[in-house]
Amino acid sequence: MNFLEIKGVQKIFNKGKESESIALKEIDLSISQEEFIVISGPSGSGKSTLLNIIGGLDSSTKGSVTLDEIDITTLDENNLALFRRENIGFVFQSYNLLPVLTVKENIEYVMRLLGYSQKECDARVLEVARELEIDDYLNKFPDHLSGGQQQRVAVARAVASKPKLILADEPTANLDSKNADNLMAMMEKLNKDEKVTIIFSSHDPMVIAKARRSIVLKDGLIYEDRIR
Amino acid sequence: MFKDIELLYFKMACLHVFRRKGRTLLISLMIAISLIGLLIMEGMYEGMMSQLTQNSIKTGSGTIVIEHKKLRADPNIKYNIKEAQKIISILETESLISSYVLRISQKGLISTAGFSQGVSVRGVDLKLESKHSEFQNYIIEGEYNFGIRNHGAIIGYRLAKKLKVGIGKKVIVTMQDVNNEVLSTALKVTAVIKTNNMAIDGTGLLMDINLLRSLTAVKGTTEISILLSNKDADFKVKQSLEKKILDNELAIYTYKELYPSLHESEAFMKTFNQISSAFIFIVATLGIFGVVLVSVLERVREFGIMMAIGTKFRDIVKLIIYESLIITMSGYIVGAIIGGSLLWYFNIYGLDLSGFSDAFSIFGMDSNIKATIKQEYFTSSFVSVFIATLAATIIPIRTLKKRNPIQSIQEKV
Repeated sequence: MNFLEIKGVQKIFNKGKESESIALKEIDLSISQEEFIVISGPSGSGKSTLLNIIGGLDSSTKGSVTLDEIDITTLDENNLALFRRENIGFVFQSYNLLPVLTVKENIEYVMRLLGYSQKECDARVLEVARELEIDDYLNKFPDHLSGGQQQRVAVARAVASKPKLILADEPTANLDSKNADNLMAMMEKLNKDEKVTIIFSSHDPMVIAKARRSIVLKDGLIYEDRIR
Repeated sequence: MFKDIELLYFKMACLHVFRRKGRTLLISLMIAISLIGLLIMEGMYEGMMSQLTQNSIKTGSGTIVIEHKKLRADPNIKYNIKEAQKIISILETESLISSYVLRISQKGLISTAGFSQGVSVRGVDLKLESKHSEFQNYIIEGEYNFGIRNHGAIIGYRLAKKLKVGIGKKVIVTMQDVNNEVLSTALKVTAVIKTNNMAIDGTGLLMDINLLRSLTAVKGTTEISILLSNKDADFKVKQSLEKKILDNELAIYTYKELYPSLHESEAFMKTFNQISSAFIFIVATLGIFGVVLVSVLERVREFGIMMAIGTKFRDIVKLIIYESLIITMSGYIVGAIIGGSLLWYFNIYGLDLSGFSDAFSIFGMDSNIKATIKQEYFTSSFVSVFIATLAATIIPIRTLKKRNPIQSIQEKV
């Protein structure tokens, strides 16, 4: 069985109401471990919705999502939170760091949830921070950092607990081209060094070009699935 | 650094609270001021009621009174206790009795050259009364004695005012003796007292018990007034005395039976305090609710992020409750310290309302009100604030619960 199996996933927003809209129509997808995948497509094609459903942040109307042999569509809210904590790292378009925590506390937050000791947290935070070149800002608060720095902290938070899968929804959308390039280089390195599966969505052709597998969505369906 | 995730949540709650200083200060102040008001109100009201009860007990009947069982229905001096000595020997065996005195009471008429009115004559032994009712502490004019020949009278200040008599003036007291014969005697006013016991201040006259006994030919005594070291032991001591005295002609009453209105007033005040507390509790709940709701709604996105990266919803609930409790408990602590200090001050020095002295005395109250301090004021208000805080978080938490993590993250504030 593949690391990630998506079978017949459908998502209808406001089902049964006047404003009903179909975001995803019967998506089937198989993804292996250590893949580096981009999901692209025009606005409204269902990229973010698919990532949210894979990550258990949103529920599908129909179909199943099996990650590492666990069908996450059957998990209740509590177990889903635990599942995300143990298996998935998220990088959001708007960084979404916790404003009252320092950079270090943000990075180690998920590790603390997982019960890592302070010593383990300190060592891992330093390792990841050095890798992402944010070790000088560890005691700063997120609002004292630039957009590029904040996004690197968000990546550090996502990888620090060594998840099996990282989901990144348009991670470079708010970055300039230089920072976007740097971020993609870092994510590629993490994919190789940490052997973590990475799925990200993007509009940017330069970013799309970095992925080893490209999935294009159009009107809620897979329009193209190409391995480079 | 925090040791575990709970401490991290607590730290986050503190940081959130301090990030909104103005709001935190406002709600903490609201709780502190409400609590100060509540504590003062409870303490002063209970202090007033306590003084009223104490005045009635001390200068009136005592905690328990023993008298002839027909006396209340027919206040004739012939209904008196003939074997007082036997009862005294029983009273000596009761450890909860702190003092007792024998008295003779009779209704009569007091006259001067220009005025006359009804009077409650009470024959007392001033030496024994000085340790019992402590009338000497209530003297506002004159001296605590009945003069060299014991033909003196100590009268209530309202009665003195009505009769327009002062120290050294003579009054004529007319009453019936044990054989229903009318007798009169002239007494010289030796002192005027203000006890805040309406019966004594308005119509009370104290005279020497032996003189009254010889005038009325009463061999015994009409009442035995008893004070207890703990007034709440009244019923227990009454039951014990009833078992020991075994005299069908006598009746034993507690102050609660003699002054039912006092007891009812105490119950009324308790209910009034509870209603006031409930009112303040509701207002505080609404205040806290408003703040918590706004605080949660403006941070829906942040909670969404926390849930997305693996925080359980119950931990988010914990964080919201920690935050709310930090705000409300800081208000409680400030309120309890200031309110408690004010209560302590009023307990020691009292609240001087002597400008309203006459009005207070009409109701049997002292114009210097001393507050009561009870631990239950603080514990009940703590529980109220705690419950109000939890209650105020229910709707904000339910509002958050309706959203999944991605809806929360996408929330526009």
